[in-house]
Amino acid sequence: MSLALELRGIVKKFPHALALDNVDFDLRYGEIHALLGENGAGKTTLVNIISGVYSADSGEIRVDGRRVIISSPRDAQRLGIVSVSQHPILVDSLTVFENLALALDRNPQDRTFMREVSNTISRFGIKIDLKKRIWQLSASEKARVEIVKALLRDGKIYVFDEPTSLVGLKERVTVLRIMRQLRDLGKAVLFITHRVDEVYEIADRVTVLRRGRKIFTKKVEEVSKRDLLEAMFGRYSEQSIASTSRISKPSDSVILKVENLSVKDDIGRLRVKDVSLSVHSGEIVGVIGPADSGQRELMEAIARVRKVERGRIIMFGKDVTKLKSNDIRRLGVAYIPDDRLNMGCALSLSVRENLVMRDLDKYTTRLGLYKYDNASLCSLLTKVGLREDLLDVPCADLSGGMIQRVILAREILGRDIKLILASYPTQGLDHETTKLIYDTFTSLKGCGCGILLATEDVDEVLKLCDRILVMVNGRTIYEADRDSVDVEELKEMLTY
Amino acid sequence: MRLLIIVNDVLERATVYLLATEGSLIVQRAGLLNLGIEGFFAIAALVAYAVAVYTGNVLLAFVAAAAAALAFNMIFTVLTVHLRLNHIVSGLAVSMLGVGLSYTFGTSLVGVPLPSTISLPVINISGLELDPVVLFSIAIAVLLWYLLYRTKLGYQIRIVGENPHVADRLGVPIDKVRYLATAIEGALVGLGAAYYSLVVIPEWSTGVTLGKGWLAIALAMFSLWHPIYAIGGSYLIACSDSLARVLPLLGVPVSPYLLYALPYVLTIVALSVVSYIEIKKKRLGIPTALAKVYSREERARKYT
Amino acid sequence: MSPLKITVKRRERLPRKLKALYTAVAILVSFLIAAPIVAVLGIDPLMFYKYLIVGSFAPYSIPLTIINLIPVTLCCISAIISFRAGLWNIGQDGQYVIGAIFLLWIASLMPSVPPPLSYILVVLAGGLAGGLWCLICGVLRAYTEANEAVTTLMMLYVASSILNYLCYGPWRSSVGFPETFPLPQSYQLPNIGPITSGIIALAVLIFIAWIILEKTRLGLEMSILAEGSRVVDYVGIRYRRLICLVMFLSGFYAGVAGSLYLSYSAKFLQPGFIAYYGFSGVIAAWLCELRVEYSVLASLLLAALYSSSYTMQATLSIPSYMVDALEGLLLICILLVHFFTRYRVEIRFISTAEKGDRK
Ligand SMILES: Nc1ncnc2c1ncn2[C@@H]1O[C@H](COP(=O)(O)OP(=O)(O)OP(=O)(O)O)[C@@H](O)[C@H]1O
Ligand SMILES: [Mg+2]
Repeated sequence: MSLALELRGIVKKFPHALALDNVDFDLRYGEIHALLGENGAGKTTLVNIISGVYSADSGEIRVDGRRVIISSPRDAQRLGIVSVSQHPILVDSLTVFENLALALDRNPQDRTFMREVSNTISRFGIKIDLKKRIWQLSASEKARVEIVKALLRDGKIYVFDEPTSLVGLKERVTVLRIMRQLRDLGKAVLFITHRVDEVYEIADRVTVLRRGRKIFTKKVEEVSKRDLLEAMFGRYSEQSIASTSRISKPSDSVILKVENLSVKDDIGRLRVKDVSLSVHSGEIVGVIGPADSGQRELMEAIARVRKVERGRIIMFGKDVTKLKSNDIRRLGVAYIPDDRLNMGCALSLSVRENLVMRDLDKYTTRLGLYKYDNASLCSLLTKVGLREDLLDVPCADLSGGMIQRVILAREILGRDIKLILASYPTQGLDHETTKLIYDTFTSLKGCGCGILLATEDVDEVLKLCDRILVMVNGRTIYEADRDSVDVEELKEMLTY
Repeated sequence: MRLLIIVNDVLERATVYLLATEGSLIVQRAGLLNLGIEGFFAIAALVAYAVAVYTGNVLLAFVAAAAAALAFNMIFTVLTVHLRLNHIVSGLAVSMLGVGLSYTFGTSLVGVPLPSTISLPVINISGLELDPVVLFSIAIAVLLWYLLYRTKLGYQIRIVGENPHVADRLGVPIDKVRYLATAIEGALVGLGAAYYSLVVIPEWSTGVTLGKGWLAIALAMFSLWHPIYAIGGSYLIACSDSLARVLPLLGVPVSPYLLYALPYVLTIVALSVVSYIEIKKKRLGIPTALAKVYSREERARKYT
Repeated sequence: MSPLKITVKRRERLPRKLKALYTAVAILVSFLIAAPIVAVLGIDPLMFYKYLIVGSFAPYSIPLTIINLIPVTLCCISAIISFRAGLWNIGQDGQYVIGAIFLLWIASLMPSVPPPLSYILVVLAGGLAGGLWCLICGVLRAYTEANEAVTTLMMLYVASSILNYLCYGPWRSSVGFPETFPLPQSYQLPNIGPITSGIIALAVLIFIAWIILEKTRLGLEMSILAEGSRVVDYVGIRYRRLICLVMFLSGFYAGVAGSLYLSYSAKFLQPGFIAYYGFSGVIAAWLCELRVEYSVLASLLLAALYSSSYTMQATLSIPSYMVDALEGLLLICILLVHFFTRYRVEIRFISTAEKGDRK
């Protein structure tokens, strides 16, 4: 197998982080190469350098043995490097075909090209309506378009950044299948994941990054799961989720009651239809469903950042349907939004300001001046495993995992919490951060806190939740206690 | 007879607005909010006038004006595209520089009349005077429509303005597209400015162009960045502009000084109404990244 | 393909001193570029530089500089307030005019209000009128999403035609010139020695703005507002109300600039009352990087430019628009400093073979 891509001594500095520190890396034709590492390890940075989004500070890149300079995504495409992103890179207002044409540098008005594309698509056995606009598509359809785009581009080197952390069960299977197909066609495939099991499922070789340095590259057969985890985090800790069995029986008091809720999304489509649910104190309720079935909108409406069209939300016996998010926060509700970057934090403000921004009342004196004491903010940070000197760093310079820790510190720590609304809290997070979140949830649950959790991860609900609701197409179609759940039936509903 | 004079006046004024609006429209479609338009409008108006006075050649005057505006506009492009600086402040800088230079150097032309050779051929349809520039401006609107909605470049311009992150990763050469858009803007606004100083108010005095450029930006916005709608918008504002001059002549007792504000008030109202309808409809396909600096390696940027 | 590879990289924050040095260099550079322009006008650049300094900082010019300093600084703060919140009020000149007009009207209704009270009225009347004028754009922005940069600019022209209307129409008092009646004596701020007492009002207003922006929760809420509507909803800030409040405050400062200037310097209105202090304020705001504590320092430069321009018009007969050109140049140079303090530019020579392969 010949070398497709070689990186030598790649260094990339960001103002507050050395994202890559002298990294060597190589990728061969006909292999699937997994890239592992904790949050902030530098995986995305490495991939972005390969696909021309970032440019390295030093080091060299060789494609097919020739030294190249990749200074834009366009350059990368010319070199046959195709990247598939975690979030679909598509223009909402255009049709599927127009997006594909633009990605291939063709005129979207070209009729003959349209025929060409639909032929190719049917050859790969993918169903997609070329005339639909992107905003009309569901998340899984978008993911499919993203894959079609990559296939049409016909490159030599394929780069997938966490293709499996956003999509539901069904798409995950498709993505893995496509990666295998690509390998069998002799392409070079690089893929990033946080799920160690997937590495064993499909990868040939694996590289581990930690804090910007490469720990090792090994054949998958030659490395144990324990070694991998140790390399990723510098220590080994057993997945503890299984042990978080029901600690306390949910008491009878209902703390959250949602009645016949209907909610619209940003472009005015009804996404939540007539949903009712309730959460007792000391209970974790999981809302699961295929991607984009309305869970996000449901959570946002309950957290009072989205308008309610119809229905009522009652917390602690009080009607909060008309209240704002900070009003319910005062009642002891924490909200962990799924959109960490745009909603969860103010990107250009410092970590300090992000920690105080949801409690302005608390930090305001009677004269309207604000005052906070650094020591308590520092202790919040250390509790979620962040360094204290991050206090003055803008959130934009943190990695996704670190941002989630900041959100966790602000929402849950140092306050008296009775109800947590968590929307995809562990999405894209590494093992350690996920564990931190699970531990926090279970210990709070022990103290009588109720938790409503929206997720697409079956394992997560099965391990964590006391009660499970399945939401498809904006409606709840199934509800059961964990002990009485039929796992196969559940998986069936999710691939629906 | 009087009506015809008014109609011809509207036609001339609308042509200026239309050319400038089409120019501003195309850069806004590419996501740039170029307040510098005020500056190179002034520069081009002066260049046209000066060239006309010294050479007596109309065509040359128009070409020179377009070239000058185009070149001057590049300052804005470098500041915002390459140096990733704030659009509004960069635009203001370019506009101050342009206005300042234009009227500083223009002082020597104040009161100098245009040579008699400066006139455009006119097609006279029963009193209605159509000159080539009037027709050209309409043609440009149609052409830009074709460019935006029927060609690859047009698609690229639109998605750069709608979502530069996506455009970049789709492989659209953002910088080139934006350069091209500002070049088109410069040329069109230059032509409009030349028409203004040579035909609409055929004389030079200090401060004549002020406000015209910025009006074009608002016009492009309330025409929903659509080249064909922009025709309607431009003629509407031209009518109100004309009205301000005509009403006192007809003996209506309103102060001409107050009427001078009419186009601006009308623009604000139209812009608000259209924007309101837009947010109600939650329309897609508009330049949502307008005035946002795009910097590939950065997640968030504030102020600059 | 060119063998040059130019990359732009973000850099760590520069030390304060180095930044100041860059800024100083930029100011010098902008003045150097002015030399050839002046030369084309047929004026000796050396004379130009001489009057540039003498016209603003010679002992007899200092009072004039301070007269200009007050409105520039207030407009600068007005710009800072709105820019901090991610709103782009750039129509300070319109609010300035409206502030002055309203003061003149109030004063003509109550000409006999005694001094300490009348001085407070000067500030309040101007601020209120300017604030409400700007609030129109704020309300439009909040409820219809009409672009506030554009509407504030449009409102500038509306304000200026109201000014013209009054000067040529109902308020005209002299036959020869389009001037209004003067502001009643009791409303005219006195001088302290050679310097106007408006400086005291300025100091108080700067302090208030500093408190609001740096010390109160409103200041923090404004920074959050600049981050976009999603996070604003999340924090639970009343988005529309905050936009309106910020625009009102921003207009308030610009309005006070107008009424104060009318009260201590202009005394009556005329079409030339718009001196475009607003645009200078925007430049100053950029020069001080939106920090109120440096606003006076930044505004001083612009104010100096104004006073030397008066001298130069008189002595060298340089057209008044030259100041605009100079200010534009200055702003461009300041913008360049902003670029170079945030980014590093790397230029490398590469062999053509390394460039991407074309299919
Ligand atoms: N655009 C950027 N600006 C500033 N810092 C950045 C930027 N992108 C990444 N970083 C920093 O570089 C480091 C590596 O980040 P990177 O996104 O590559 O991590 P990752 O391994 O992909 O993590 P995750 O699993 O969370 O996706 C982090 O410390 C992050 O804060
Ligand atoms: Mg990543």
